[in-house]
Amino acid sequence: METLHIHHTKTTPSIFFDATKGEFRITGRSIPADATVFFASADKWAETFAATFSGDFMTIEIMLDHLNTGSVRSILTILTRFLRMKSRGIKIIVDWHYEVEDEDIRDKGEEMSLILEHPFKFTSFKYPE
Amino acid sequence: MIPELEIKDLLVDSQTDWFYLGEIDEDLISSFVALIENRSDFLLLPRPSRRRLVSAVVECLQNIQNNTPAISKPQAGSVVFMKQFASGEFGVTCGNLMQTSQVDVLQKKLDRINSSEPEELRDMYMKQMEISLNSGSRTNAGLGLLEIARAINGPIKYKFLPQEGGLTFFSIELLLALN
Repeated sequence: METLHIHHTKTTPSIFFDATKGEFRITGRSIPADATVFFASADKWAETFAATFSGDFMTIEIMLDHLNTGSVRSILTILTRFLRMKSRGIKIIVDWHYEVEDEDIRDKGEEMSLILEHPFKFTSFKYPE
Repeated sequence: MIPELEIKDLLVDSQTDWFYLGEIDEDLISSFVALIENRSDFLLLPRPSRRRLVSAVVECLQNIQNNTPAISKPQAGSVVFMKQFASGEFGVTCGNLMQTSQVDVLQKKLDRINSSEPEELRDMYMKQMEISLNSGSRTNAGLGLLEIARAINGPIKYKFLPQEGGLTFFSIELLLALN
């Protein structure tokens, strides 16, 4: 399956989905005017991947400093596709990164976790001074 | 398009230091966020406060059009203002024309949001997000307004200014502290 690599812009995040390496990351700022359009290729990729993946587990890392409501919905849609693999016994780890003092972003992850009824792993980090 | 002179008469005053009239697109959002992020006083804020402030502005920009259903004539163009206040605060106003017949529904939505406690807003946000997700809808269905209220941690200040031809100018004003 081809690697999906979308480079970040001032309003959109970097998306890197590599089935061969087992690396799945969404990082940066996600405030596109039309999130559905921006995330369409990632959504399609996730759908295909979820239908064909035969491994035991996958980890998706998400590290965003801004995300608008449209992005939340689109990322939830993508995560829903991955999480459907749970029915085949595949373990899904959603690793949600947030700056150590940024409770808003952590809370956003917790809300998304509750909506998906799937516990996230929370990883804090600190930007260099 | 909203007549520029008319809008200026309605809302622009001596404190207005930035004004935009037109469609809100990716470039405008990017430029406007950069305008705020390049302010020296903004850079002094803790990073989480910066994030919250930018979130409120982005949602305001992106939702003003979503919450004002399209009208054919005159074609709606959104307006954005930035005002500077001596107290170290600045205001961002986003507005758009809408059908007067739809004002009641929007006003009730805003009043309900403004009368809700933070926990209620969170519950409303999550419930609405689940509905939006399950329906496959592409619209934000009021999620942006909820996000604005949560980001500014207080009521959303709004105005409905009746215009001719069954139209109303709807605007949201955010008062953002930089100290």
